[in-house]
Amino acid sequence: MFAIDLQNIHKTYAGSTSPALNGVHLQIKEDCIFGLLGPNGAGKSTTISLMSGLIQADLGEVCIFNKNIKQHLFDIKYQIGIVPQEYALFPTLTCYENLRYFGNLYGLRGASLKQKIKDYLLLFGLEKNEDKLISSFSGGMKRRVNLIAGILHDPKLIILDEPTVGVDVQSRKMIIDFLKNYQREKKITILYTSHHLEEAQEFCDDIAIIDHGKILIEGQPKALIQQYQVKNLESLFINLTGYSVRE
Amino acid sequence: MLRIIATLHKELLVLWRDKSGMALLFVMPLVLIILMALIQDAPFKDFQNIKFEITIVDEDKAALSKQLIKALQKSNKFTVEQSNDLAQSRKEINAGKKKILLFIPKGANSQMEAHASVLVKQLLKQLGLSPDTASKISLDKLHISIYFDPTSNKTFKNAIQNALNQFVAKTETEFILESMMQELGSSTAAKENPPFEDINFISIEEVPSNSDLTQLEKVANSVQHNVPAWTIFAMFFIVIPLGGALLKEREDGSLLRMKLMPGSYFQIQLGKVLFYVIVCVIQFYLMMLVGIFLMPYIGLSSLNMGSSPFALFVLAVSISLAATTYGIMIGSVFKTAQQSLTFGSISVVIFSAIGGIWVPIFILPPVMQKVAAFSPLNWGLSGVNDLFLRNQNLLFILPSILKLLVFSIVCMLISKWAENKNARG
Repeated sequence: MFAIDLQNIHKTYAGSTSPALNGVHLQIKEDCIFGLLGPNGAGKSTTISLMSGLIQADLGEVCIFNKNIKQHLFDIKYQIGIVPQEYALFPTLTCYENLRYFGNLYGLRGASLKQKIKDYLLLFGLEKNEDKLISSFSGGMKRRVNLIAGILHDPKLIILDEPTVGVDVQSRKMIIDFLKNYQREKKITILYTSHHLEEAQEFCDDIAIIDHGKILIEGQPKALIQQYQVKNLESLFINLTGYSVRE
Repeated sequence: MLRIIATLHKELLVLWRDKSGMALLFVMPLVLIILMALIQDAPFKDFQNIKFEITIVDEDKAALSKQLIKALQKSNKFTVEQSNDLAQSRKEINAGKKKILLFIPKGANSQMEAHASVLVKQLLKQLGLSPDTASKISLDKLHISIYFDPTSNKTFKNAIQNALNQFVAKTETEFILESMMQELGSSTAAKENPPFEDINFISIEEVPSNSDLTQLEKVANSVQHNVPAWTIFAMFFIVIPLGGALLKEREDGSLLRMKLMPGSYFQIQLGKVLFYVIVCVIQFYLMMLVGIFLMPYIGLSSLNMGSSPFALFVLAVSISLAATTYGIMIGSVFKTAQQSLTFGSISVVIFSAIGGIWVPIFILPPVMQKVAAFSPLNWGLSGVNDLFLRNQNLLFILPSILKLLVFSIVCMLISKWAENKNARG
């Protein structure tokens, strides 16, 4: 069974002449870490928005755990945890208040939610800051809280949109190590987008490179590097997407 | 339900920590209603129980002027001050130090007596009670001059002139009656003790529309207008913190996260609407309490809230709902905080100007009175006036409530359309 199954997806935004996604086929198996890589404007965010049910495809079918997203959006949302690129937190609420609110929105409550939040804060080294306002947090701390907010309800699929952007090396390592252990322990699926290709090469079991709304290549990073006889994933990425700067 | 309660709690924390938002919601209306009630107190009193200062230069110093001055003093509408220097008094009028100046020229009394005598003789001749003496005598008209402060408006001048004409007419009638009694040879005793004390046996007095009520005087005074009017204005100013909060949520991605969460986003929005409606209702009743208890301490009358508390509560909720959904619409339609704040605040000011918040609607020109029918602030204020001044009930204010509810639904539909449009990119 596939965690994510995209079949011939087409999507063009209103007012745009070129399609954001142009016949995308993508199958991501369960219990793996999958990297969706591409330059700015390649179609990564549109793909994530489709998988999360935020927008609908003009053509094609999106299935999550074998369920069509159009028909089973309500159920599917409980199985997905999304960590957006933005901090997506309320700056005038404390760290604990933010997590409690998002936990309540997932339907969690009471002592079990409180304990869960405490455990995650301890795991991410934020236990001393739980009563501080988010506005006083550093970028790295916000990233960690952002991640906790996306996984509080134990999702089977986590979608991470550039989870380590703008954070220091220590915070990045902490996040990546956590995600690796978490995936191994819970046997869940992680879809990850990033511009850190070195990080992606090390972190992901499988990757796909997308550009101009089409999947250009898909497979295991090491196998792809060998196949295309390049030094690393970054070289492969440049070979496929070119040097031109994107908007 | 958990999602709604959690959102209520979250919004409470967010607003509690937003000091400028709290000030805008609770301090601004307090300052507004106190200031506006004080500022507009005098114009409202101009047409009610204010006493005007009048300066009289009496060159005649005879019965006519004495009678006129006595009548003016007795009326309780004028404070009479006498002066002997017309030139100086006119200078003071021009300088705005005095408001009204009345000049009674020398010989006014004898001219009035002559005029009355001729009138009486002619009348008696026509009745066959007098020998044929003067057939037709023409007399010069008696002119009493009035001067106003040059800045006085036309309405004020007309009101004063009408009042003075009444006193002059009364004095003139008294002169004619006296002259008639003399011609008919009435005794001195009868002259000293006239058979009637007041010749004004017909008087027109205003009876309050709700004369069956024994409550406080129900008049459209400064407090009765300004307290509800500026409270409704402030309630609609919730567009600033609410619209701003929505845009902030959109910018920092928390709105996106909420939409990605399981369950309907509508429940989260419902929690938000519910919270701000509660805030607006609290705001409404707090300002009404200010009108009742604080206004008398600053020399103004106390607010009278009518006798339909339930209808008032329903109306307060409807106004709050209209204000909140308008704020949500502003926050959903606009893409930047600057656009939302500018449009939100200006639109509320325009709605208030055309809706009779600044000045009562009956003062506005006919065209503007028709335009007022399109302002949600006017619907709210009309409802409040119906309850406070006309002492009406829920059924009577139902049209105002329905308009506010339809407005709320339209705002929510536009918000939904804008949110969908934004999601589609």
